[in-house]
Parts: sequence; structure tokens; C-alpha cells
Amino acid sequence: MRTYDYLTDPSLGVQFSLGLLAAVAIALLCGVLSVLVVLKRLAFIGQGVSHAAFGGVGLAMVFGLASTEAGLGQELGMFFVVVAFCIASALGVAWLSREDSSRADTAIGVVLAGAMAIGFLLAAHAARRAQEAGELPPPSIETVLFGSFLTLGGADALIAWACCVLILGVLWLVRRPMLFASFDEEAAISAGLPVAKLRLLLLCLLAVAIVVTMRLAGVVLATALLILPGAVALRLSLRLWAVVGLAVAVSLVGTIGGVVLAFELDWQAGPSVAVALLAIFLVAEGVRAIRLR
Amino acid sequence: MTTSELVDVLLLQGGRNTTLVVMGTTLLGVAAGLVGVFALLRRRSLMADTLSHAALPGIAGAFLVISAFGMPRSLGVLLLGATVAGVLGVLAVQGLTRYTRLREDAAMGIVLSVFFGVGIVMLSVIQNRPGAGQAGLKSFIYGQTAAMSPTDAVSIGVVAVFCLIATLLLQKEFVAVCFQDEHARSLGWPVGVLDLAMMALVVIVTVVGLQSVGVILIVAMLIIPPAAARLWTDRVSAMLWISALIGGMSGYSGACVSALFPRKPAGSVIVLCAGALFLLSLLLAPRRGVLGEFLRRIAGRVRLATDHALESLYEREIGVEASPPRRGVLLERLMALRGLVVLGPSGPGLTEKGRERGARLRRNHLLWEQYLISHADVAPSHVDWSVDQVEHVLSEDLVNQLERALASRGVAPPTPAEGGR
Repeated sequence: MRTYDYLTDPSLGVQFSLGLLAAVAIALLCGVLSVLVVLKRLAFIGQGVSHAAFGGVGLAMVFGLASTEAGLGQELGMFFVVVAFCIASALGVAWLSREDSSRADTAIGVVLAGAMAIGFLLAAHAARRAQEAGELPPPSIETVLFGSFLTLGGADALIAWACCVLILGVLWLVRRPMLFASFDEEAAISAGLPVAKLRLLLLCLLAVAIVVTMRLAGVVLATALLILPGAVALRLSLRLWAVVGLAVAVSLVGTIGGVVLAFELDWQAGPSVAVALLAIFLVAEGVRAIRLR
Repeated sequence: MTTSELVDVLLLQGGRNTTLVVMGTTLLGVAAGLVGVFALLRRRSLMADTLSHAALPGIAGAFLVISAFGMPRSLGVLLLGATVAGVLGVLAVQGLTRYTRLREDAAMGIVLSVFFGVGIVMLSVIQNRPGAGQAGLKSFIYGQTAAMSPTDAVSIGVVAVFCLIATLLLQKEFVAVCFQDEHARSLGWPVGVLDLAMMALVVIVTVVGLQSVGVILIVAMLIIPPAAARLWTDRVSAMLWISALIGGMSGYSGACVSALFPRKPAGSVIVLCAGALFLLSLLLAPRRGVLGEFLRRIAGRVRLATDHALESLYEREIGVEASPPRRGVLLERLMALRGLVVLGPSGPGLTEKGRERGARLRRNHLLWEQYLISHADVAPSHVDWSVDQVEHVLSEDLVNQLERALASRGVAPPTPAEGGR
């Protein structure tokens, strides 16, 4: 059991425990949001926003906010830069597809690819500049793209839990109109609910959640955490609170299982979490198929 | 880098290898632009994204197979692996949507992230193995034209030309399938085969572009040029040419930059170039552009203000009590410039042309007012406000219809000089 050895290791144990703490917050957050993502068909815009986050990271690197040994201040600075970038991209997609929402996929594609490209160039630039100046190099592109458990630390745990409380709190406050709009948008509009504004709010919350998730699972694989728990839960139950509870449970098991998998097999954390979640999804499908027979 | 070096590369004189790479990438851009138009019309853009991400484990797997058998690395085998994995990914999406109740977007998200994650793990396994040859594999993630060998470039160019010719030859059929597949089917066309051919072209362009643009960004080559072209035109044939042009320009400039600065990620430069052209289109395109929309809005406002001013000037002239005309120096100058008013010391006075237009507006106003009262049962005291909005958009045709409608009820159409209100 390498996991046990790592966590009880006197030199690394504390950092790993903090990383695990951050992972739990991320799992909670993604579990709840994934239900809304699947219900409101936000999978693609989520993916677009998470790719856009890479552009934000590039920007933060150029500002020198993303060195490998950043303090809490730098971490926070980077967090806000990336969140701002993500929210701007989400609003950009909403604006580009304002006349015809069915064209959103094109808008997402354009914003996604553009932001990624900017990110690559800025990251390359920042790395070269740091090398020339003899400073600590910024984190590698791979870390940002695919996530890493090893770089999670106290600052991440703090940010993750703060965002978790904030986002879940806001969702709790708007739960009634949000659910109404999720299940019957037409009726919600005619009842006078600000459906478009609610959607924008949800997108902003999603953007923040993605930025947090990205630290663990990376830009590309954050999507898995934001879809699979909700997909599993909605297959197993149709009662709302049961779905939310199931999604959170799946998310927690998948994330922690993924981290353990990463320790045991020496994989990166992001892919391991994605694979663990997929395994849960397949098991749930199998159970369902047997039960229905 | 010197200026002459820059000119050499731009004019395709920078040595045989560079020239081949630049030409191959440009052709790829053109082909992606053409194929992308149909992907966009058929709403397959995001399918292409899934496909390219899913191709990564195929590349890594093909590399593992090659090195297990001790064969030399060849682009063909790697791309074969990419194709197999990509097609498997697309089939997995279809399987997920059919056998579970997942919607397509969620299914694509799942397939994309899991396939990609597996690919990343496989790549890291490869990197930890002893032995050479894995160096170029990363270029499939980020895209690096500098890592391309001349033979690769030539084969990419050949495949791109094939896609280009196939798209142009099948253009009419593809358009029919995109817009009216039911109709095409009833004409006895092989819609299923054509659809498959379209998808196959998307697969080919995606896979071939993997090395120069990378799995993450290749989808941009399929989405951005057509999306930009869509802003300029509503006609598919024009859209094809514009999209091909934008794609080609992006590929060309990306490859040139990559030749000049080998360490810059070429894929990003290609995509950024396409993105810049998209932004330009978004700003400048005549009908859908931001600038055009802005100018049209201003023009509409000026027309409305002119109409209001002329009408109230006319009403003042014939002595009907009316709201006093809103004064505005700029507006009055503009009207004088167009010969509608003459500016005098006591304010603007109507010219013959201005009087005619003012009279027509007033007549429209009264006409609509009477119509509302006699046909729509609107109370006379409430009629004025809604009329103020409508009188400006009444076409000649509509005015004739209104006259007929009033005549049929025996109401005499108003004359402009009449009192009222």
C-alpha cells in the first residue's frame, strides 16, 4: 500500500494530507454542480471555459503569479486572474451566441481554441523569460493541462474550501428558481423568473469551480469531474435530493479513489480520477442493466 | 533572424525542407477550411473536438506497438493508430447516447476526457521507458511543424489536396445533405453514404493535422475559418472560398513563424492567426459585423429623428397644434445638407422636398390612426402613442392596403393638411 506509506511519511505526509483536503472540497463542489451541468446541458460550455482557463494561467505566468514555489498571495492573485479570464470567456460565448443559442457550439469552439492558443504562447514566453532571468521556472504546461496532486498544498486547500462554501451557499440561496429553470425553462420564463441571468450566474459559478478543479485534474480533465458524477446519479435516481447526494458520493469516491490509484500506479492524478469515475459509471450501468432484466 | 531570412521563408525560398513544410501546412489549412464548412453546417464541430482528443491514446498505442516490434517510427502507423482510436471514440459517444439516457454533449465530454486521460498516462509511461524515439510524440499534443520531416510534409500535403478535391467535387451533394437531407433522400441520393463521406473527410483532416496543430487545437482549424466565413456571407459557395482562404492564411503564417522561431508552438500561432481573422470578421463583416450593426443602428436613429422633426415642422407650417419640434444643431445641419430644410435665423424652414416628406409622414400617421380606431377598436385617446412608432415603417404597399381597408368601411382617407390629434 503505497498510499498508506505516503500519507504517514513524516516529510511528505502533511502536504499530501492538505492535498487530500483540497481534493475533498473539489469533489463536493463538482458533485453538486455536475447535476446541473448534465441537466442544463452545460457540458460543452464547461469544457470551453475550462480550456479558456489555460489562457488565464498563461496570463498569470506572464505576471509572475505562477512560480513553482508561490505563497498564498501569489496563489490568490493567480486564482483571480484565471477566474476573471474564465468568466470573460463564458460571457464571450454567451454574447457570440446571443442571437441563436443553437450556434453556441461554434462560439465555444472559437473561444476555447483561441484562449488555449494564447495560453500556450504566453506560457512558452514566461518559461523562456524565467530561464533567461535565472528565476524559478513557472509550472510546466503539463501540470496545468493535466493537473497534479503533488503541487496541491495548503493554499489550494484554503481556496478550494472557500470556493466550495461560497458556491454551495449561492446555489442554496437560488435553489428554487434555479431548479424551476432547470426542469422547465419555458414555464420559468413565463412565471417571470430571470432565467437568462440565472444561467449567467450558473456559468460564473461553474467558471470558479473549474478553476479550482483544474489544480487537481487539469484543464482537459476537469470536464470528467463535472459530468460523470451527475451522469451516474441521474441514471440511478430521479428524486432531486437523492440525485444530489448520489452525485456527491460518486464524486468523493471517484476523486479519492483516483488519488489512491495515482499513488499506487504512479499515474498523474487527473487521468486517474477520470478513469476511476468512468469505472463507477460503468459499474452503475451494469447494476442497472442487471436490475432491469 | 534577419530580414532577408524572413523574406526567404515568406516567399518559400527558405530551403527545400522549410518550403515543403510551409506548403504542406498551408494546404492543410485550406482543406480544413473547406471540410470545416460542412462540419459547421452539419453541427459536427464538437464531434471533431472529441475525435481529436480521443486520438491521443491511439498515437501512444501505435508507438508502443512499433517499439515492441522494433520497427522504425513512421508517421503513417502513428496516424493509423490515431484514426482507430478517434473512430472508436466517436462510436463510444454514439453507444453512450443510444444505450444510456445521456445526452450527446455529456457523452462527448465523458469520452473526450477519459480517452485523453488514458492517452496522457500512456505517454508518461512511454517517457519513463529507456530508449530513443519518443521525443517527437509531444508534438502531437501541442503541435510543432518544426518537428516535421519533409516526407511527412509531402504526405500531409497530398492528403490535404485529396480532401480539397473531394470536397469541391462533392460540394453540391454535401450542401443538399446539410440543408435538406429528407429531400435529398427522396430524390434517391445515397444520403447515408454522403454523410459518412463528410465524416470521413473530417476524420482525415483532423488526423493529418494532429502533428502540426496538436490534438487540443486541431479542432480550431475546423471551426474558426468557417465560423469567420459565415459572418461574411449567407451563400455556401462563397463561404467555402472565404473559409479556405482564412484556413490557408492561418496555416501559412503558422508554419512560417514556426520555421523562423523553432521553439514557438506552431499550433498556437496557426490558431491565433485564425482567431485574429475571426475577430476582424466579427468587427468588419458588412451584415453581421459589430461595426456594421452599430452604423445601422445610428442610421436608424438619425432617420427616426429626421422623420419626427420633418413631421412636426410640417404640422407647424399648416397650423395644426403639435408638439414643438425637438431642436438639435447637428440634426438640423444634417437635414439642411440633404436639402430637406433651409436654415434661417428663426430656425429651420421646410424646402419643397422636406415638405413633401413631412406631408407623407403626417398622412401615414393619420391613416394608421384612423385604421386603429375604425378596425382595431382602439380608443381615440389612446391611439397617438402607438402610431408614433408605426408611422415610420409603413411601406407604400401597406399604405395602399390601409387605404383600401378604410375605403371598404366607407371612411374617407385623410389628407395631410387636415386637422386631427
